[in-house]
Amino acid sequence: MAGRGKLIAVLGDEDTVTGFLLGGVGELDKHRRPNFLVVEKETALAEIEEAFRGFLCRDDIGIILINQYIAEMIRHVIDAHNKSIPAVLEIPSKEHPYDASKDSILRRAKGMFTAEDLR
Amino acid sequence: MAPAKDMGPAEICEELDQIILQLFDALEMLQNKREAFNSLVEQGWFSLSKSRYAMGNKSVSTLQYGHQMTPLVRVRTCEKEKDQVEFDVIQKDAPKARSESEATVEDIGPSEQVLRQRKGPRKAESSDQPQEATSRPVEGSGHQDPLNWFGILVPQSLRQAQRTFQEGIHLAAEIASLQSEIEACRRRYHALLERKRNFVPRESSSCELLKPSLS
Repeated sequence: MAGRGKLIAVLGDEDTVTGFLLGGVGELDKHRRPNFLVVEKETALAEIEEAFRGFLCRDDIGIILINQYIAEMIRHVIDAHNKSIPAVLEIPSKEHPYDASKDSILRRAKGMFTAEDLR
Repeated sequence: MAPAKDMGPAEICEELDQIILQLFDALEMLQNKREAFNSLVEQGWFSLSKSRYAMGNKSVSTLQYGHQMTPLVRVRTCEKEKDQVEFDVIQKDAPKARSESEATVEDIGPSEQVLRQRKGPRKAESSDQPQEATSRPVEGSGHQDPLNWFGILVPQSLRQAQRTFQEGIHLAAEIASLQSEIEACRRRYHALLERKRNFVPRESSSCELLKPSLS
């Protein structure tokens, strides 16, 4: 598995997932387990969180692309993830433009220079 | 980079400065890549919407996804330094669409030769045809181009969307590498800051360190 490279997982709205699958990232393994989740209005938060945790646990996934508005819903899980692999990338969605101030990585980098960290 | 154990306070301060410079370089690059990535994704959505307009509202949706999916793109991970990972995109072999177009070009050649040798023995012609027929399924068993989920004659805008998202995937890998570098910088910075605090006497360090944050 490692020799072939790792997968890119996508968690997002229909257009984002369709676009990246068109780009060739999609996989259905032998158990028909997908490496993507299309989040719709009626998708439950628990389902999103479960899918994201599932992607974090899989050792064949290298990058997780997630719409930032969905990342906001499960921010506690993303903040708790501090491993290098899989890398979590927050991306914009059609209705919600990318906001750097919400990004977990940039918030951590910003946190390096607060008075609290320099105590 | 000197090993952290042998460093004196001055060297630690210098190293901290270096890390900060490296961090800001990485942040600047990340911002540029992010902007490029976001505009690519926007362009991709626009192309998808154009395809929907051309093909019909329900023609580009989750319902069209293939029943079998094999990834054409993967990422190779290699650890550069401790906790710093670099992601490289590996593009899989050419999708089916290209092999088909190549096959049609090859098919034209032999058929023309057969026409020229009309007076020749018929057996040669008949033996060629089954060979072609058997070669086709072998080509089809390779990776399927996701474009084919949405039809055979897809509009140009859908091909454009595919190209845009493929470029986006390459940028995503670069962004992931930069994020990893930033995280590694942050960890190194904190570790060195901790060492600096152990070196410098408590009261002087607190004065020095609090000055910039208070100003």
